[in-house]
Amino acid sequence: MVFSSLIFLFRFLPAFWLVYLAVPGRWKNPVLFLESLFFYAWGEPVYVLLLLVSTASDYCCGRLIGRFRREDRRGAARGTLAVSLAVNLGLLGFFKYADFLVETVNALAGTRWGTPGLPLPVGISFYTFQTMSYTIDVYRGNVRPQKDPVAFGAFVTMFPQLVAGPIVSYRCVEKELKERKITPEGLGEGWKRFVIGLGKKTLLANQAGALFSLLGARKEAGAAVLWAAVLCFGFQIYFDFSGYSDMASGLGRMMGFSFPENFRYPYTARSVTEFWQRWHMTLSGWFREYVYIPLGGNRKGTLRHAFNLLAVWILTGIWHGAAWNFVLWGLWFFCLLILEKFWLKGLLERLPAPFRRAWTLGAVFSGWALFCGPDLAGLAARADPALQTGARALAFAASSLAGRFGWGWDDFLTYELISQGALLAALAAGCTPLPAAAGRKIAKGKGGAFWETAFLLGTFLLSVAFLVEDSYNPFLYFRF
Amino acid sequence: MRRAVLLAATIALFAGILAADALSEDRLFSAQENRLLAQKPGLSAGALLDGSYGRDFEAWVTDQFPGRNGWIAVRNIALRLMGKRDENGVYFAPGNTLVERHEEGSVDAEAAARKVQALSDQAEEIASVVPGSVAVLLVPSAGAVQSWRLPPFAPEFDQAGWLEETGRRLSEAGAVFLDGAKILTPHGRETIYYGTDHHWTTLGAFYGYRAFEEAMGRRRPEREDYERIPVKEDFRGTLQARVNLPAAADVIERFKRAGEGEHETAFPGSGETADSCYFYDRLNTKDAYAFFLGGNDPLVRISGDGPEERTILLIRDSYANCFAPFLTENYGTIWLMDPRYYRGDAVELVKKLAPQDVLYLYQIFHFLAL
Repeated sequence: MVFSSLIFLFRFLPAFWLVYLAVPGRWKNPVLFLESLFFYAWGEPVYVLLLLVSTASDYCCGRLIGRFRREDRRGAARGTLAVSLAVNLGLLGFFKYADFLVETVNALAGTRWGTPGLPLPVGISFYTFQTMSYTIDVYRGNVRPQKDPVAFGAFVTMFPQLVAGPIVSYRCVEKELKERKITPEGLGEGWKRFVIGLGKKTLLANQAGALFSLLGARKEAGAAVLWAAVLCFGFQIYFDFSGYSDMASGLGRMMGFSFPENFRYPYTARSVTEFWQRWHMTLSGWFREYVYIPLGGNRKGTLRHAFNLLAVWILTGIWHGAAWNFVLWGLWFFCLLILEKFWLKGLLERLPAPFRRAWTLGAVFSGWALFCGPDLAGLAARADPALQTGARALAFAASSLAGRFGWGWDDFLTYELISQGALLAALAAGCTPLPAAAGRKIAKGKGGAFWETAFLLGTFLLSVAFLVEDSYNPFLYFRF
Repeated sequence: MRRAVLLAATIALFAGILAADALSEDRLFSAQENRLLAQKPGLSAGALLDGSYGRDFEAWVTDQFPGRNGWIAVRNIALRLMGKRDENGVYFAPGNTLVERHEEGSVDAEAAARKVQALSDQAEEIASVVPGSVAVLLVPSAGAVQSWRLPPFAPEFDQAGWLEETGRRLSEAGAVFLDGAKILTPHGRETIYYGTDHHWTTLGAFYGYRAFEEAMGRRRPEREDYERIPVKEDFRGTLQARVNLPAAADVIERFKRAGEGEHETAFPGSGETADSCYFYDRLNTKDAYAFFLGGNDPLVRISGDGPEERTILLIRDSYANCFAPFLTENYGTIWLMDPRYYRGDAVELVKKLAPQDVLYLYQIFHFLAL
């Protein structure tokens, strides 16, 4: 089930709240746990077992690690942690990366092993990371093991963030799992956040996505069409993902949880380094805390520092999908960050902000060309039939940058630019803090409460109208 | 509390929508969308486990959402206000009318060439069988003839250019080619297409008929020969259904020659016969264009006022429905065969009916979709 569906909004959500509000405090975790399992099982009736296996394994490992630590048996604690990591990484590896590994081996060694060909369980990349953070933190002594299996189950399966993040580490919600309050304030602010997220998803991301598909299906392809498509993809992925995070945070807030922020206007960043401090912050935070720093971070010399960054960025790339283009995407950012860290830092700091933003956006959107490359492979092949093999879109992107193809601007692009100009302007404005600032100003002014309420209800109704029309609108980040 | 109003309004909204949902009966069919709507799925262990129950359930909730058409209209109005110039393959045109969109990339040149080749082969074969002429009239969609109705820079497929090339190839095969773009373009400012439907109007069909008569070497019919009788003044057709937004209503006209009576119309497939080729009872249905010939039928026979031995077979699409009545002036019998529904072979049919003339009449994109 996805949030931006009529069935979630008008079946699951009302039913959830009726039960959740009706039961007394100590029943809230069990209700959350069971309804979250139902939420997951609705779309993944079989894979819900994996979720339960991961939950049970980490619950047991957590308690064991806690006991071994109390008994000061470091080795046993370490061994149990290894079991927990092996289970999670094993699930992730098998269900997400098996096909990719087999195909890579086949390509390199010329073998003909069959691939398992299993569909990817929804949200597996998110919940395995969350549970790993829990056992690692127990091992490190940062948190105490959770004794209540239902509370732990509620943490892992919690439907607001289950399938597409943010990646909430156990530490963040440890207290709130035990005691949290539903307040009118929390309900109101949370619902506001949810509605804004819903609007971002249905009114902005889906429309950008439709334009992306339209451009990707062009028969007459030139560099202009490719880059216009990449631009739309960059908008789509931002509003899709940050919209989802907003909805998750909003729902959590309504229940009394406070989830960490996941996005802070990443497209306004003034360097690539800063971009990653603003984009999918819970993922980069996770890698920093559980990979980069344990490897030694920047404290073991320049070479080791570079290696640690390389490891993090290959992992970040491949976390986004089991395919080489994602690895390349990770490496792209590795190179950019190294470049900024060791050479460009001083120069960038002296440049005026517009130049720094142009550099950042250029770098990030070129990265999106790698990221969405396979979706544009058809376009690339039509632009140049000679590009038959491998990373067509990559070659296309690189060579169109080099001016190898005609720019290929035609009436179609002019037409769509005029026809969808307002949408594109809204997308661009939405990437900045300006709309939110304007909203706050209006809300503080005369009749502000009225306008704010009208805006939110209007956004909600319009989103529903778009959902009634869209028969198909899956989340992008679902399959990561 | 500052969000009290928001929360109260939200709860009221949910209660209202859920109540409307619970109280409304499920609909089987959407006339607007011309499709069956999803119904409540049956529950079974298999469907539950393979996830199809969840999908079917969701389709059911979405299709049966209360006020479905109203929501869709709200969405399309919002897009329209944002300046979007087309929706669902339809352009918004001046005067609150609509024009079919046929984007330049939407035509597969090779497939189109194969269609033309097949038509040319068949026309050649038929020409060797019939005593009279074999003619081909391909009619463009409104955008090609009335480019003033298109938004600036609309990347439309070049129908006129395509017709010119196709005309050359068909003429070489011995067919009398009638270029719909050349025939209709001089009348581009007249109401030759409906503003809410993808068909040409009776006036548009009249110009097609006039070109056909001239090509057959007969007297050139004039507009003044006909009394134009509006039979429906609030027609809203297929294009309006596609955008689901209010649009200016169209008028359906019947052209009547001085002293013209009704023409017996037979449907050999079902064995039914009607006293007229106009079906007034269809005017108040969703598909009011079915006023002409009652809709699309695989095979239709109209009795005309012309000499008995002068007969014609139209191999055609729905553009012929409002065209065929004009032919009653000079033909004794008019046969219409729609290859989309007629199962048999066209050449065999020609041999069986032995018409004097044969006319292929299609709208370009209907022809390309055959």
